[in-house]
Formats: sequence, C-alpha cells, structure tokens
Amino acid sequence: MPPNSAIKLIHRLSILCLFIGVQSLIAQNAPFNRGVNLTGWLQANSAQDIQFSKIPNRISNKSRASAAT
Amino acid sequence: MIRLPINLHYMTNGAPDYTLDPLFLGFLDEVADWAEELNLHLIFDNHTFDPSTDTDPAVGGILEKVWLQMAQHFKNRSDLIYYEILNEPHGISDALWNAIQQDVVQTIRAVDNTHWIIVGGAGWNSYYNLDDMPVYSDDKLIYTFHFYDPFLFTHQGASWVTPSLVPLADMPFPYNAAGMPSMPPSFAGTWVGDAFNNYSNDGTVARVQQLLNIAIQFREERQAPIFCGEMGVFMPNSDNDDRVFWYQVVRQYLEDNDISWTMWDYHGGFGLFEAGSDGLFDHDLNVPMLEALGFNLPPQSPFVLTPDSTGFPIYTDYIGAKIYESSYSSGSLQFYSQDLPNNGHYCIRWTGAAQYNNIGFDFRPDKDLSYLLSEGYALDFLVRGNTPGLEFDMRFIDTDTDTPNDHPWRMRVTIDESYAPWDGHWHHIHIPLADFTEHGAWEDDTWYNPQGDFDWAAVDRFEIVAEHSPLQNAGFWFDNIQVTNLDTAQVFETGVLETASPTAVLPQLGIFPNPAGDFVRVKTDFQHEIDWQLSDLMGRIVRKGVLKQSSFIDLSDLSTGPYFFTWTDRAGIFGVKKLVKY
Repeated sequence: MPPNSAIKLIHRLSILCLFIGVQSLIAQNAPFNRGVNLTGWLQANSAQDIQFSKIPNRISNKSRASAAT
Repeated sequence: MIRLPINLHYMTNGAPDYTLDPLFLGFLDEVADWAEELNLHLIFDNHTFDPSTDTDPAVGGILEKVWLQMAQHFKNRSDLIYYEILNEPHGISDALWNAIQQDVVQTIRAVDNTHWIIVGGAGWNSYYNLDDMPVYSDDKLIYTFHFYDPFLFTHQGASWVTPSLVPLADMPFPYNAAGMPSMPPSFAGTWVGDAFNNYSNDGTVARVQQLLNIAIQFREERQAPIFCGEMGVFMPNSDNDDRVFWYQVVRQYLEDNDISWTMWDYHGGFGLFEAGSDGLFDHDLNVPMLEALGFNLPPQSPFVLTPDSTGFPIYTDYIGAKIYESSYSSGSLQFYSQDLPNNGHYCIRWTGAAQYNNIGFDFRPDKDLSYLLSEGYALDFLVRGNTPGLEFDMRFIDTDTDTPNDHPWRMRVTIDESYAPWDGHWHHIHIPLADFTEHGAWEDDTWYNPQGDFDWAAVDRFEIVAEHSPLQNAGFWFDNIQVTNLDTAQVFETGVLETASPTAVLPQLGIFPNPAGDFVRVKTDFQHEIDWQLSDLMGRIVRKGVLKQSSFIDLSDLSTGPYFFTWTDRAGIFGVKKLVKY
C-alpha cells in the first residue's frame, strides 16, 4: 500500500472512530439537560376540570378568527 | 425542559375503550405548540398514580390503549416531545412490570418510531430497580429514576409517611452532630428511628454520590441514557440553606456525570417558590435554590398592587390570565361546553346548582379596580337561560383583611329577566361597575349588613351566584365575560338551546372554601357515611376518614398547593375533586 494511501486509510479510520465515539457518547445522554416538573396543572379528574389560560395575544387572535367566521 | 405530569387514564371515557377526550388532546396540542415555539423539551409523564394502591397487574391493557392514541396523535411532532409510560409503578414484580412496559413500547412503535420513550423500573422508579430491567431492543429509550435521599432530610415534615415525619424538623444536611434535632419519641422502634440513628452515615455528600453511582453504573453497563425525573426536598420543616446545599450537591453531581434531571415540583411543598409566598413568578421565586440549580431567573421585585388600567377577560373560551377557578357548586358546571357558544369554541354551562352555589373566579394577585370604576368600565357578558322566572347575582368580593370589623364585602347586581328573557337565546348584557350595589358580607356563619366598606382597590374574586333559588334542572350559559369600556359585543349564535339536558342526579359533594386555608368544610347529600381520603400530587395520602353530610377537615399542617379529595360510598359511587390549599 503506498504511504499516502495508508495515511488516507488511517485518516478515515480516525474519523470513523471519532464518529463511533460521538455516537457512543450521544447514546449515553438524554437530549435535554435540566428542568422542572410542572405539577398541578393537567393532573385533574377530567379534561373539563383542567384550567387553561392563554396569553392575551393568543386569545385575541383566536377570538378575532372565530368572530370572523 | 418540562416534565408534565398528566393523569392520562382519567382523561378517557373509561373501559373498555379508554378513548382520550378530544378536549384533553387539544390542551396537550396547545402545550406542545408552546414547547415547540420556545424550543423546550416536553415530557408527557403519565402520572396516573396512587401510592396507596399497588399498580394493577392488568394495567397494561389500559396503557396500550392510551399510548397508542397518544402516539398516533403526536407522531408527527418534533423531537422535543417525549412519552413517559407510567410514573412510579409499585407493588408489582419487576418481571411483570418490565414485560408490560415492553408491550407498551412495542405498541407505540407500531405507529411512532421517531420519539424518545422514557421507561423506568418498578419499585417507585428507584435506582435500585434499574438493573432489574431487561435489555430492551429499542434504541430510543431513556431510563428514568427518582432521587430523594437521604429520605429523612428530603421528607422531614411529611405527613404521608408512616410513621409521620411531621414531628421531624431542622434535620441538617450534611449531617453534623451539633445540629441534629432530638429524635421524636414516635420514631422509636420503627424504620424511621433506625434511619435517624444511622443519619451520620446517610446524611453525607459521599453517601448521596454513592447512591447516584448506582444509576451511573447502570448507564455504563447498558450504554443507554438515564434521566433523574424527580428529586427534591419538602419545604415546611427544612432549613432553606441546607435545602439549597442539597440541591447544589445533587445537581452538581448529576451534571458532572452528564445526567439530565427535572426537579419536583412547581407550586407545591417541594416547589420553586418561597415558603408561605403567593407563588408569583416575578416576585416569589426562591432565588438561592434556583441559582443552586443553575436556572436563569427573571428579575424579582416585591409585589405592589397597582390599579388595573385596562379591561381584562374573565372568561373567553378560557379563564383569563392570573384568574383561578374557585367555584363551589353541585350539579354540573362545565367551562368547555360546546352548547352553541356565542364566541369561539366553548361557553360556560351551569345546571343543577343548589341555592348559594357559585361559579368562582379568584384573582391572584388581588385586583385594584378603582381606576376602571372611575373610568366607567363595565362587566360585559353574554348569557342564555332556558327557564323563565329565575334570577342570579353577579358580584365582586373584596379582600378580607386583618383589620378589625373587616369582612369579605360583596358588591353585586342581580340579573333577572328585566335584563334579558330566559328564552334559550344568547343575550348581551353590559353593566357599569358603578351600577353595582353593596350587599353585605358572610363570614364564620354570620351575616353582616353593608357598611359602605367595600374596597374596589382590593378585589379578591368575582362570582356568579344562585343567590335567590336553586337552579334545579334549569340551565344558564355564559360566554365572553369581560371587564371592558366597550359596549360592542354582539350575538353571533342565534340558535336556540331549549333544554339543559341535565346530568343524571347523583348524590353531590361540595368542598368549601376552595381554595382553602387551614380548614375546609366538606358537605354531601349522601344519606349514609362515605369514606374519603386526601392525597397530594404524588398520590400520597395526607388525610383520610369517614364523614356523613358535613365535616370540617384540618389542613393547617399541610403545605400549600393542590390536593385530590377522593370519596367512595357503600354503593360504589365514587368521585374525585381537586382541592387547593393556599
């Protein structure tokens, strides 16, 4: 095997090893970091018992849309 | 990221199909929209969970039905959405639970190969049970565990533990001999007493890290991602500095080892607000604790009540922002009725109420409506009634302060057919706030005549009240309730709804007040005793008993937040109501 081909092969194997290494690392970690349990909101007895509020611009947009129809 | 506990099995029509309520799926769609707009990861955590009841060996049939529907509904969503099959299975063998979980994974994969699924071991998602889980073939699974160690530190003050940990306070973390409280006598000879005596070993940073290493070792062996889905310290009896230190230690070790986490909980006893505060996001966050957790915080400032300068919605398909439902009503009360709404998709439907029942809208924080009053603002709404001759009150109630002789004063208007005929049609009503008149106050079973003391600068809530008679089978519907200076609302829906189609008359149970302070009264029209229990959001029973017709329940030692009041009678009639302690 010519020296430059060997170098190319080593280079490709290095990239492959790096890729496999990254895959292994990804496989061990969840795709998110930190957060909170948003409790007490959708833990109701039925859907009718859930209180749902919307930010004002969403309400006005939907109200306008429904009023238009 | 957000782990969103949902009582998934309650959101169905029950056996045999367990069809998810389209209303609930609509709510989840809204939440998913928000998460995707904000680039937030969102876990739908099936939190259908009762710690006092072992996980049903037949739960797999329900899980497969609900998760098949969830997967079909959300399969085309972004990767920000996650499915968590069931929170904290317990009282079921590892082998059986793991087989059930495998079947549910396969059911989801039949329609959705895209989204991550979060799986956990039996034994309350303990890290000890991770190793009992099989090597599932699916390569998009995240393995969850929960972390509450040392238990005597994280659960001091907890009433739902046996024996009760309410007598335990100021348990230090880390352990130091000089800072240890005396062991409560009730612990003697119990597992809690053993844990107390062993706290010099268990209450250390090294022990916490040693226990977390169990999960880390599992990850290394399985080459699979792990996730600490719950961790936290109960607030009431714990020292805040030690609490902050625990969060710092646990969070740091998790993150040093690339383990994702979500803290338990939000507004409850483990929550992220200052103890005893009103839980206002811009004013009451526990800054040291949240900084220890590495969160970026909005600026905090003391809350100052200022006059509202513009009108606001009370109900427009949904209850308005910073307003919380506080109704007390038997019969049927629906906030998402599709009985020919006038605006948007829904209206409020109210039938079968007893006299003095109400639809309540609690302002949190209180509202100063003095400026709107002076500027001629009005209560504006659409109403439809189907039974001539009835009348009801609409009223504002001011804040009951500690000032001597102050009471929750009422400012009301009585709505009768001089405003609109109850003919099954929608009618628009516009009543300036200045036209409301003082009615008096009711407090501690005593009536107080009006004294001109109603305070528009500190309004606690708004109510629609069956003040003059029961509604029985009559119905009222409400839509687009607002405080506004515009008298421009129109009737869009001209159809006639002639019958209220009342729900079947079953014995009713009411909880008052709700939200409640230190005491709550439960009233029923059951003719015999019923068994009841009160559980927190983690499903832990904090109270239980037997009642007939009326009883007070002492909530004084419970932390603020929501609870579930569950009752069962001898005939098997049962129900659940949400109770909020403030």
